[in-house]
Amino acid sequence: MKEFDFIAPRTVEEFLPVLDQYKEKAEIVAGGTDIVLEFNERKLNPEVVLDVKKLKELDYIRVDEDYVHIGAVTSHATIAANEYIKENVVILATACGNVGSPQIRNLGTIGGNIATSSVAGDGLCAVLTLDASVVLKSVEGTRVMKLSDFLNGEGYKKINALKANELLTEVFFEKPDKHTATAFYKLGKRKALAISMIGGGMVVKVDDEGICTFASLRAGALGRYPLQLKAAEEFLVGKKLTMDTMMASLPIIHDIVYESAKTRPSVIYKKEAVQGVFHGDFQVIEDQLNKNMGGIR
Amino acid sequence: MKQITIEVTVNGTKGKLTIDPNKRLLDMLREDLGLTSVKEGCSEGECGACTVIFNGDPVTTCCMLAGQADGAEIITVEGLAIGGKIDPVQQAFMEVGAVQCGYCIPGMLLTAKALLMKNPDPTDAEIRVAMSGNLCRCTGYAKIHDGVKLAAKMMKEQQKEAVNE
Amino acid sequence: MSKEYSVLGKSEIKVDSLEKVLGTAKYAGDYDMPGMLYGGVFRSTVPHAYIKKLNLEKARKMPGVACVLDHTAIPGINRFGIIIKDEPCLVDDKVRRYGDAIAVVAAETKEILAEALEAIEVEYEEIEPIFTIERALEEDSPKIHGDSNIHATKHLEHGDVDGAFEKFDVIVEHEYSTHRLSHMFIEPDAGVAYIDENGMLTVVASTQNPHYDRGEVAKMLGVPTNRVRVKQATTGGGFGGKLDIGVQLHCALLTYYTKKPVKIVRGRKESTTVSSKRHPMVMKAKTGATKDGKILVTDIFQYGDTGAYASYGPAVIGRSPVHAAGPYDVPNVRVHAVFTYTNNPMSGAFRGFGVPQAAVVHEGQMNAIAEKLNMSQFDIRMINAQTVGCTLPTGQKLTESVGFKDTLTLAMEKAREVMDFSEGEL
Repeated sequence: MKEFDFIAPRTVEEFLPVLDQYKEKAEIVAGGTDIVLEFNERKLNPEVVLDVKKLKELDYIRVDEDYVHIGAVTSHATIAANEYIKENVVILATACGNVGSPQIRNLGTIGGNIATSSVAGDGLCAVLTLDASVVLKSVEGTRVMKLSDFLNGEGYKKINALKANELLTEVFFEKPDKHTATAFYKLGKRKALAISMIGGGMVVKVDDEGICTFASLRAGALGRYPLQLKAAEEFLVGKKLTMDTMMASLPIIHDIVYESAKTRPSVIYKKEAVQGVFHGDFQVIEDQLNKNMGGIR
Repeated sequence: MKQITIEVTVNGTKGKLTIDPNKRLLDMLREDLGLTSVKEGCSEGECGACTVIFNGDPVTTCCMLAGQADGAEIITVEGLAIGGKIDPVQQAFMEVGAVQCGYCIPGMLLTAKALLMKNPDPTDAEIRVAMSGNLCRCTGYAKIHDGVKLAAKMMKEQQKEAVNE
Repeated sequence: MSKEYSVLGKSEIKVDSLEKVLGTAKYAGDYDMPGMLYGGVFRSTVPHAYIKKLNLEKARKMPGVACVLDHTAIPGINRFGIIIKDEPCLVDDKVRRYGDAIAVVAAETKEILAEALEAIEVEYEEIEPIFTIERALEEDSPKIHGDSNIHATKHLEHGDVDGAFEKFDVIVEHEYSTHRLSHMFIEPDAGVAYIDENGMLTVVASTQNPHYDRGEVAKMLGVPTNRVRVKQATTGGGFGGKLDIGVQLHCALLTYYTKKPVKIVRGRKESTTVSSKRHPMVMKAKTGATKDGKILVTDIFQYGDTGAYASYGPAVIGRSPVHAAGPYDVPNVRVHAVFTYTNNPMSGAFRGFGVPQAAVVHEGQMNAIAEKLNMSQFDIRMINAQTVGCTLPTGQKLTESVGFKDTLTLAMEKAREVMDFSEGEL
C-alpha cells in the first residue's frame, strides 16, 4: 500500500470541507470491501483517504409517511436484519442479505455499493429497481437525483454523476404499500461468497382487482448497470397479475437479454438462466400478493 | 504521510496506538500487536481466515484500514482463552476433530463465537449461514458444523453450572 | 466390533489441535526475527520469451533495498525439480510460463519491496506460446525444453487387445477431457531463511517436502547438504501443491548474500499463478463388451499437459495408465500415454496423481456401455468388478482383500434408503 494521509471526520459538516479541499486527490472509504483491496494491490493510490464509516449520522433506516430513507453508511447486514425492510421491502432485504458473506455484509455499506456502481452490485440493483433517489452533499449544497440519472451521469470518475467534492449521504425510495410486491433473486456460482452472475430485481403494483398498474424489472450483472427489462414491464402493466401472466413475460425477458448481450459468449447461458432467475422472483411476488391482498387469482 | 493515533480495545485491553495509516487492520494486528493468530489467506475478503470479532460482529480484517478501528473493540483468538481456561468453541472444535491444517481455525472460531454470543441456540440453518464466509480446504465442513453445535451445548451447560453455584 | 481394542475404534484429540485453537501454532508467515528483511520475486508477464534486457539498477539504488539478484548470482546449479531438474531458480535462458521467476529482491519493509519490484525493467523477445497439447505435438512448434515437447510417454499392454476387438458384441468410443485444477491450500506459500547460531543456513517453510527442499537449496548454493537445514513450519494445507519447492530457494539465496533473515510470503495471486496444478488431460477410449455386459477389452490414449516444467509429471504418467481400466476385471487392456510440455502453468502432484482423470474415462465408458445394452449402471459394475483371483493389467494377481463388490452392494442399499428411484434405477 502506498503512503497516504488518513482522516476520519466525525460529522458530515466536518467532512465536506475536507473533501472539498482534496477533491480528486482523496478517496472515500466506507466498508472498504472493494477499495481497500485496490489500495493494497497498489492499483489505487490516493494522497488522502477519508473514512466515512465514522459518520454515525449516516447510519440509519428511517421510514416516514411517503418514503424509506437509508443512510449511506448503513451496512448490508443492518438492512437485511431490519424488521421493516424484511417485512415490506423484500427486494432489498434479500439483495443485502445475499451480498458476499456475513463478514462482508457487516462491513459493506449501501452507499458504498451505490457509489462504486459495480456491475454486479446486488444492493444497487435492488434500489434501482425500486426507482430510488440519492442525496449528494458538498460544500456547495445538496443535490437530489434519481438513481437512474445518477448512474448515467458524467461525474469525476466517469462511472456515475458523483463530483469530486460530493459525498453520497442517503438513498431513499417510495414506501411500498399493501398493493406493492417486491422480490430479488440472486444467481451465483455457489450459495455464499459469490458475485452475482445475474441478480433479478422486481417491483410491481396492482389495483384492488389485481390488475398490474406498475412494473419495474431489472437484471443486474448483465450490463454496465442493472438492465431495465422495459418490454417485459410494458407487457405486465394492464394485465391481471397471475403466475400465468408473469410466466408469459419470460420469452420477452429472454429476447431482451439476448439482444443486450448477443456479442458475448455467455449470452447462450444467460438468456436461459435469466428466465429461471425471474421465475424465482415471480414465486416471491405471488406469495406476497396472496398474503397482502388475500389472493390474486 | 502523517502517522495516526487510534484508541482500540483488543482482547479486553484498551490502549492507544500510533501507526502508519497505509496498512490494513490485518497488518496492524499481526505486525504492530503481534497477534499472529489472525491469518491472511486470500487478501480479498473471500476466505475468512483473517476474521476477528469487531464490535460484536465478525469482519474480515483484510478489507479494513487500520485507522478504521479507532474506538473499536476487537477480539482475536488470543483473547478467547481467558485465565488459562479455553473457550467452549475451542474445546468443542478439538473434541469433534474439526481441526486439520488449522489455518482457517482462528477465523472459524471467532465467527462461531460471534454467532453464539448473539444466538446461544442456533439452528443448523443458522449455523450454516453464519459460517458461510469462512472457507476450509481440509475438512469439508461437517466437523466444523458439529463443533459449533457442541460448543453451543457446552456453553449452555456452563451457564447451568454457573446458576447452580 | 466384537473385540475391544485399547487404541482401534477410539477417538483421540489430535496432538496439534490445542496450539491451533489457541492460535499459537507458528506458520511460516508468522515468523519474525530481528533485522529480518522482506523478500519478493520479480516474475515474467509473458508465457514464452527470451529476455533481451534486464535492468536491476534502479531497484538496487533505492534506499532500504538490501539486495537485488538475477541468475548470475546463483553460486551453484540453477536447475531444480522434484524428478527432472528442468526449472531455473531464476530464469537464465528463457521464460517458459507466465510468472517465471526472473529476479529476487530483499528490502527492509514490505512497502520498499513493492517499490523495488516495480522499479525493475525487463524487455522480452517473445516466442510463440504453446497452450495446447495438439500444438505442442506438431513438428513445427517451438520447443520448450530441448528438441521435443514430449515430456514422457508410457505404454501398458495386457492380453490380446487387437484379437479381442474381433469378438465383442458392443463397442463404445468416446473422447474425454478434464481441466486444470488448483489445490487452493488456504495458506499461501511462505518461508523464512536465516543463518543460525552455528552458522547453518536454515529455511523454515510451509512445505510438504523438507528433506527434498534441503537438497535443492544446497545444490543451488553449491554447498554440501550438511550445511543446510530445512524445517517444516506448521503448514496450512498442501494436497500435493507444496511438494514442489515454493519460496525456499529464493529466501535462501537472499540470506546467502545478505547474511540476514529473509522472509517471503506469497500473495494469493502469486501462489495460485506459480504453484502446480492437476494435469489437464484429453483421453480417447474404445471399449468392447459382450451383450451380457462383460467388458472384454479397452484401448485408451491419455494425453496430459504437464505445463512449463515437469514437476511430478513423471509420477502422474506412471499412475494414470495403471489405473486406466479402473477397479474392473478387463482381460485385454492397452494404454498409451503421452505428456507434453506447454507454456501453461506447471502441472504436478495433486491428490490421486492422475488417477481421478483416468476414473472419468473408465466410469464414463461403463455408463455408456450400460446405456447401450439397456442395463443398470449398478449391474454392469457388479458384472465387471474385480474379485479375488483377478489379474490386473500390470500383471499383479489379486490374492486377498478385494472389497469392491461388497462396497458397491452396501452403497446401493444405502442409496435405495435415501434416494428416490421412482423413475428407474439409473
